[in-house]
Amino acid sequence: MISPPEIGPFRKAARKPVFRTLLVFGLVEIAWNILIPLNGSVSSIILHILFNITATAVCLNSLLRQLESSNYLTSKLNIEALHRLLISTPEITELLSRQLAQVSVTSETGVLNLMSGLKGVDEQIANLTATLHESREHSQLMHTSAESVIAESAKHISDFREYSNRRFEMQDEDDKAIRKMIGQIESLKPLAGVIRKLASQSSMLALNATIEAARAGELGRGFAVVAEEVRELSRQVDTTASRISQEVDGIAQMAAADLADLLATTRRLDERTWLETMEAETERLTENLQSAVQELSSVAASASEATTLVRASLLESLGHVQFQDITRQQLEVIQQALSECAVRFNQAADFVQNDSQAEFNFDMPEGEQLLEQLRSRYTMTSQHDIHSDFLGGTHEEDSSGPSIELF
Amino acid sequence: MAKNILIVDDSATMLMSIRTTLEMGGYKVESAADGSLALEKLKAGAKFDLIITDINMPNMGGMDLIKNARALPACRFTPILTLTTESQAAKRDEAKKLGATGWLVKPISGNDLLKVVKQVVPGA
Repeated sequence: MISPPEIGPFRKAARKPVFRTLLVFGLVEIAWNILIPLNGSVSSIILHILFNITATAVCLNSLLRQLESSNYLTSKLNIEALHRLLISTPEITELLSRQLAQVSVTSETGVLNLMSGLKGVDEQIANLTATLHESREHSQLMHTSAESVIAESAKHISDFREYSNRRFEMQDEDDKAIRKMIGQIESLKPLAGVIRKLASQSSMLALNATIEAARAGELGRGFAVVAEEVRELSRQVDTTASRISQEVDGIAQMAAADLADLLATTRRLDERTWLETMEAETERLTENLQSAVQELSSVAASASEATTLVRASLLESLGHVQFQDITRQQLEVIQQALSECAVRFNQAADFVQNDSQAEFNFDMPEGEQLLEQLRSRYTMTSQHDIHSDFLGGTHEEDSSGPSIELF
Repeated sequence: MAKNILIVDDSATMLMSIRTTLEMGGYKVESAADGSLALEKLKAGAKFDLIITDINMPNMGGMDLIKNARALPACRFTPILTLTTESQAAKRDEAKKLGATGWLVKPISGNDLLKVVKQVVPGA
């Protein structure tokens, strides 16, 4: 029959629920880290693990209370029950360890996918930035080209204005010349009157000559023929003078009409108005174009600023996803602890089963040693903090220096 | 010409996070999953303007990598930054003694990392 050890190392170690609770605390911290950013699948695994560890801790505590009661180990049935529990515990710890490994894999996959997405966003932003840059350069080229066209148009307008002014000056000169010509033509009209008057007087003289020739009889017959010819000539001169007068009137009227047409001021006004309108339109076009280019530049600048901010956010996020590596290391410490628990439970099971062994002699480190071993594996300040807070101890406050230090 | 940086970490997450950050900053990046693979690259003659290494890694950790790298003539003056979760002052002092250029604690934001890299890499 086996005598229960009075205060053996096994009981000492196993009576320390702090060890198990520490594991639970560690897992709570990991769960907190993972539950926030990741989805339900990881959270459910963590909750499952927490449940299992808590259930195991409760069972062991219950058993330990019974062990402490007198003569409990004297019962063969109870020894067998304890053996069954102890032998099954390593399986549970191994299972939990695998579940923890899966948590690490799942969170790593999630984070890698997340980063792949972030990288995609960054590539899109880079493309967008390149497009914006191209648009900005293109708009500046358009602006330069438009300015050149506008300058050319302004020169054409100026040339046309100069030509128009010159033309108006020439018109004035033409106006004067035509007026002078009309004056000269009209000055011909009295000459036609004088010719007609001379023709009338010649005709009268020829008539008197004819009468005198008739009185002279045979001697004046020749003279009468000449007088008649002179009368005929006078009639023709009168007719011609009359026609000349009419022609002069006609030419004068035509010249006056052309002059009136030439002097039509409304056409000049129309041309001036058209020129002014064209100038105003060109100016407005220039202003609109400049405004459009400025607007485009402003949009490009805003977009560029926005993409810079997005890139800064992406860079921040790339830092945040490193939580996965931190969590992985926390999980590894817990996995190692679980694995050591399994070894100790196996040893305890062997001890309980071997009822022929009279002495309690298996090698089990003290609880304090176990906890110190656990502490030695911590790398993070947060792990030390939890350990110290829970066990009431302290750790060197100055152990954590600045997070960025250049030597 | 883009500066060449070697990052050493056994975490795929860290490698991708740091690689993406540095590439966004315009650097050329190579990676190794532990100290011994990184040392192989260095011994093969690969030239880097900066090495960023984790401390706790399988096969060869960051401390041994720094020690071995400093023994190589080509890496005697190459800046080496550690990037680790390690919080012990003793480890920090050890890295400093071995010749590390600086000590960075995980997690580090991309903006902070790029600032530090710009400080330690000449002409970056």
